[in-house]
Amino acid sequence: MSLYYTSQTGTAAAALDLSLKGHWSVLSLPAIRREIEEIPLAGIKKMTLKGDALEDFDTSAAWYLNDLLAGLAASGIKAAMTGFKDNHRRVFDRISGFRPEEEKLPQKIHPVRAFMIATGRNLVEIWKDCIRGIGFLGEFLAGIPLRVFQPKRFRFRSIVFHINEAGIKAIPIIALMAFSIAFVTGYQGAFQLQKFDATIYTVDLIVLSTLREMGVLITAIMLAGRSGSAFAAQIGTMKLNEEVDALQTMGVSPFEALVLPRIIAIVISLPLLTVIANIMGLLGGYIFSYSYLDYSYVQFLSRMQEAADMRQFYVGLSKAPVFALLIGIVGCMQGLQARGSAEDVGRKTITAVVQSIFLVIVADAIFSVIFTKLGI
Amino acid sequence: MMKPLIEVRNLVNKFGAHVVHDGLDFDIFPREIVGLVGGNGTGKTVLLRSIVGLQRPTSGTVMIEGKDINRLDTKEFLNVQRLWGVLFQKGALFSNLTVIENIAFQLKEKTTLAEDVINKLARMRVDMVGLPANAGAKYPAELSGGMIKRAALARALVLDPKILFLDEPTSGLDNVAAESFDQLIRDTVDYLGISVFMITHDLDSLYSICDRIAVLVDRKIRTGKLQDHLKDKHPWLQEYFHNKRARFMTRG
Repeated sequence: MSLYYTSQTGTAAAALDLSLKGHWSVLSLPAIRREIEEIPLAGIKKMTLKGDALEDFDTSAAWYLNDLLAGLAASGIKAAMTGFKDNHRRVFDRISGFRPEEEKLPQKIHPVRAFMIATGRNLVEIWKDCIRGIGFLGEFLAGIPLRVFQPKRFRFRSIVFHINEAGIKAIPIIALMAFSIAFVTGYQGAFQLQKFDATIYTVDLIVLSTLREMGVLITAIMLAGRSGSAFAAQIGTMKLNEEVDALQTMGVSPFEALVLPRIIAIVISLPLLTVIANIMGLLGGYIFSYSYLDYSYVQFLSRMQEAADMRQFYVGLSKAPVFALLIGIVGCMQGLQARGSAEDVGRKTITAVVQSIFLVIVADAIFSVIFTKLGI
Repeated sequence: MMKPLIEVRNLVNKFGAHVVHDGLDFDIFPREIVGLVGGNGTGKTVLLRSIVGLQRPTSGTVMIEGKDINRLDTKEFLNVQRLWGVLFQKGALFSNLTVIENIAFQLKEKTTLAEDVINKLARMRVDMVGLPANAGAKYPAELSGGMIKRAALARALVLDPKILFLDEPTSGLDNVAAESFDQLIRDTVDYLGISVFMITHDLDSLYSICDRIAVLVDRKIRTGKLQDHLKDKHPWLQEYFHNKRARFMTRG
């Protein structure tokens, strides 16, 4: 027994009368389709659709009925509608006048070709990003002397605000990370060095790796994730909200108002955070040496003084402003590139984080080579 | 007397000490277009949000087809939710979906229709709201203000609601676009036989397509035809319906 129609053989031969009934609406459309498609149409030449028993008949149902009639006509069956209520008829008449736009099938592209196209596009994008980045750096550097002579335009409040956001609020997490990494480095190193009976060099390992590499690298990667993303998202949202355009119309350069304070703030914050990370790393190393290797702090400190001098500390610290510059520039630049939708802000934020971490690591490698060549 | 589709009774909305609505009564009947006007900050949007269940009123009831929407369980609420469609002020199209995907969204979520049927239904609706055929594949960011409103209207209508809520449908549109959007609403509502509740400041819309006008003053609602409001002695209504712009319209 069907829910949506009753049928009877028509009065004339090869004719079928369908009396539609029940709720013909979008929610019942799947069931309606199923029932209608099961009607055997073999030998039918003429069909009458009665609508007087319909309770509901919405636009989706009207569209389906229209589609059905077109299908019947195509297969040579003459179909007619009778007895529809006025409001149903009105909906049907309007709906049958609307044409679904033809679906354009996407052109098929050979996968190899698609890959080449994508690679080419990406390369061009990377190239453009490089150019933009260099332009940005130039604008930043050119902006500095101008502001040294005009301290009023330094936007002191804004810089302090961003130092608080990017620097001070990051202290706990960076301290914790630096501490744990130094601890783990010691843990891994000690058991290897034990094989050579050289556990005392664990201190060298921890101190040198922390001061030269880990302290600054951990801090930079953390800030890339924390502040680089925040810069991109904030500026990107302001861009979408036309706030950037508003600044421009007021004759205030968005670069000066939005980008400079953020970059200056991160360039100040990252070295200071690196110092904290170094201290916490050394503390982690000491706690490890004390608890696992039973060194007193005197032993630890004297070994540390032999292993490293201030130069090691400066080597690590000298990288910090460069990393900060990379993170700040990439974050702000990606933010300003955002256009269109919230989704694009998200995409630009991802790009900012990935690019800045990548650039930090590349820069670190370059530093390593330079320092090695210079024998530092 | 026809049974109202929506009955708001004794509605109170408070934010802290700030009373927005105080014992507000209001009905919407089948097949009518009601326009809601009121000064800035009188809680027009709050009223709309209370009616569609986005905001629980401090007290009072909102009934749709005799069911109190704040006393329904989740499943029943989902069923009454199908009775209304909402067109938000800025369209609120999902920015990561194309127009077609925006329109098809509820069909995919709420029905078991096959993908190709959903697609055709959605594309039929692109034509139904007067969007050009190539608009379907576009993302909201690529559309003009008027097209966004049309796409959002198509999305609101996709499950054939009985009532359509519009929050300032013509704001931000130029006169021509606003006029044609008004006509689209009037026309669509007429052949679908549904009700419309629209917040609007567009005097054109009020005069040309609204059957009744509701005015939100003194934390309550006064409803009536335009002529009734013109006679009302309340200072805000006097100001609203008798200022220069309004006089220009009524003299028509």
